[in-house]
Amino acid sequence: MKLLLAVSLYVLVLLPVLPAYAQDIKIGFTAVITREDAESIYSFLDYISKKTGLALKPVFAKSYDEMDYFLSIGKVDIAYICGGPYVEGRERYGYKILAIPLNRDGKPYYYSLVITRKEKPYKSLLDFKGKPYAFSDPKSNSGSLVPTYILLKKGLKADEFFRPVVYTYSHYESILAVYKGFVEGASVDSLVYEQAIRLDKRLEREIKVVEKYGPFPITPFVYRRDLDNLTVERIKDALLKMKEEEEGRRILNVLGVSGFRTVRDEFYKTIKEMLDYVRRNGTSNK
Amino acid sequence: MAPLISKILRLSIGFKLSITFLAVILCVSLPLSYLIIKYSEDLLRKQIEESILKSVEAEEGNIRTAIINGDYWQIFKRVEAWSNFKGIEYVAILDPQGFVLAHSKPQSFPIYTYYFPRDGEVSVDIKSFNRIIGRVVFKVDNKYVENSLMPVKLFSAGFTSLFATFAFMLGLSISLRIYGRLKRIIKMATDAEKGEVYPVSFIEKDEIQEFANHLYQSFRNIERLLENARFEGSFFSNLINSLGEMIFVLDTEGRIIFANNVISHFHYRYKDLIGRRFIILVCDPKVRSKLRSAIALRESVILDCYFRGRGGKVNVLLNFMWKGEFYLVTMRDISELKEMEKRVRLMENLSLLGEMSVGLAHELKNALLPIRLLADVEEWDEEDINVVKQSLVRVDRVLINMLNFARQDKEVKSQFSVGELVRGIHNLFEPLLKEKGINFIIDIQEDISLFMERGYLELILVNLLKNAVDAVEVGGNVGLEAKVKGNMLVFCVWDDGPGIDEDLKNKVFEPFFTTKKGGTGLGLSIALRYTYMLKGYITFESKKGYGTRFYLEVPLNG
Repeated sequence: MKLLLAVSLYVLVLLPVLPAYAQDIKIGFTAVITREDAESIYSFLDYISKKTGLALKPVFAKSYDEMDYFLSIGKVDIAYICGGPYVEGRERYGYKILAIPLNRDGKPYYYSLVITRKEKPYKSLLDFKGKPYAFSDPKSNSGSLVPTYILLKKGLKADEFFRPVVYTYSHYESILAVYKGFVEGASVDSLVYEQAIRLDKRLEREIKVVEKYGPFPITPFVYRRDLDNLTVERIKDALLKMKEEEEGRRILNVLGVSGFRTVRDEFYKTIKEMLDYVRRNGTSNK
Repeated sequence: MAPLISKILRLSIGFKLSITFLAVILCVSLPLSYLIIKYSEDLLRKQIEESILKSVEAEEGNIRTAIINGDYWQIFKRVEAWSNFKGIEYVAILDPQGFVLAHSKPQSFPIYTYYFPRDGEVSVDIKSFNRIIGRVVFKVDNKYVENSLMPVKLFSAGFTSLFATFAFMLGLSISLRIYGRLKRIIKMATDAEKGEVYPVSFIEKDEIQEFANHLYQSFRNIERLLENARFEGSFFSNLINSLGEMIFVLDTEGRIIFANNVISHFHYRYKDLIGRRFIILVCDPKVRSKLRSAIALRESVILDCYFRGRGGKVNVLLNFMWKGEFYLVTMRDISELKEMEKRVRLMENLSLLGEMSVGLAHELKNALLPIRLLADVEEWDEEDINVVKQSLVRVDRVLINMLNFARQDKEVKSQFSVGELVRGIHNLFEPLLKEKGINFIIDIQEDISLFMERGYLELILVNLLKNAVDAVEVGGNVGLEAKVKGNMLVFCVWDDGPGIDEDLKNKVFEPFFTTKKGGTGLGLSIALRYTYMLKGYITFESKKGYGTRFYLEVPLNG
């Protein structure tokens, strides 16, 4: 009897955890370029795994479209995606916010930066008319939606204004495209830019910021709507408590963020408004 | 070019040898190195091209997709990756119209700029369903190729330099050795000049050794020749100086360049005469003029003239001979000879006079015989007086002839006929002819007129007739003929005596040669001398046992 009770209790306690152990939790990332990025992602996931007891496995998608697909078929459970694709995914697939990172200043914001090489004469986004210009992902907020929106507000269409728009599907690669001179300018995520110039001094030497749009709500961790709550809560809890531990802080520092917090969906209202404007006023973007 | 060649020709043998070695090494090594490097470069270039072409082939699917999707960044990344291949200068992917989709040098070739193809590029088409949708263009980095082959070049240069240096040093050492050996040969030659002839021997038995041996032999031969020459020099010098004649050698201008010791007999010193004009030594202006002409015409002459000795002038026989490059002049003092000749002629005349005196006495006796016979007649009729007169004329002529004959050689030219001449001689010889019973046959043209020294002509004919009369036996025949031949008068004095022996024919004109007992041997030589004085000449023909014919030719008018 005692044995039966013990087994029942054990089963009751472990039951909610079982699905998690039944298979790995797959965390989706896009735009991982450098080995350092991959290492910091692995150390981040290892830390969370240790804290939650869940097996976390990274999945890398080439674009937000692919990420949407992975989330829709369950190949990815939790994804770190831009505010743009989140707003679209929330509407289309019911994505939910797990947590958002805070920038180094502890703020949940970031900016869309217009960058170019230091020797170039450009002063604003509008100076790049007829020049090759890099967008990251067509769905990216800072790397595509913001410049498209800004130009549309001026009555200009990005794919006609630039010659051509070069999609790199990664902020980091957009920075590289500028650095290598393949494009004259690029719109990139300020967090990625800061992280990139922090890690690579060549970039800092050669690249300058021409314009800064924002602030915009920061890139969130989202999860597919049918991910079980227990897993969601345990990971969220681990994330929120990360800044309280030294190891957590060290990993956060490597990632270029100061911590995590939760927000409501309305937090991404500005992005939704820009998206709606762009949709309404038409674009030949992908 | 010519000055350069001239400079090169003036270089030392060692330098020339070294340069030749160097040139040969460079001529072989440089083209060979060039070919090897060129071949290696082509090979490397092909390998680099091959590596890109293989990669293009492997990546073609991705490139095709990127081009179709307009994924410029992917295209650029591919292009950039290829451009990082070793030895690639740049890579570009172009659209079918030639516009840049991505270039590894994006700042120079931004997207959508038109791309002008460049030399040395390789181009590969990217196709989709047999339709060209793009083109990969790349160029091998020549600098990389050149730099990659730098070790080969350095090795080649080093190797060439090493060989060149070695060749140069080899050339130098060989030339130093040759120079050293030549110096020994030069020393040998220098010592040989001083009379010290010795052989030189080297370790190498080559052409230089052969040359040294040959030179040594030549020096030996020269030494022997010199000894002979010295001997000959001294021999001929002694000979020339011991000759009684003065000998001069003149240059083409007639200046004295040699004179033998005989000049000292005339109180000249060698140094007084060397370089002087020879003609100043000749007294007679006419002779000097002849000599000038001979010098101008490079002719030889023989002259009887007077030499200007310091002790007074000397009668010499001057033989002035042109020898092609110089004049050889001999002068023989003939003053004594002349004097002796004069005396001999006088003696001859006296001898003849002596011989003739018998005849003269007989002649006079004969001439006076009619008078002696008439002396006993008391009364002379007219015929007797005529006989006396003829006898006296005959005596007179005999005496005049005698005087003419005995006269010295100072003669003057006169006009006379052959008839007169022959009659006078006939009268002179008549007693002798009668005594020996000789038939005297005269065959002459009497009216031939002559103008010359009569005494000389008489003397010659008397001598010839005397010989003829002496030659024949009693009752023999002697003849005298005279004919005109052109402007010459030809006398022939003949006899049918025993003739002249063959071996004596060459000697008959020599003075003191005689076959007659008690003869002086001067008759024919005197006849010859007077013939020359008359500018005529004498010949003879004689046949043993048949007699002798002497021919005397003289000009009709002196």
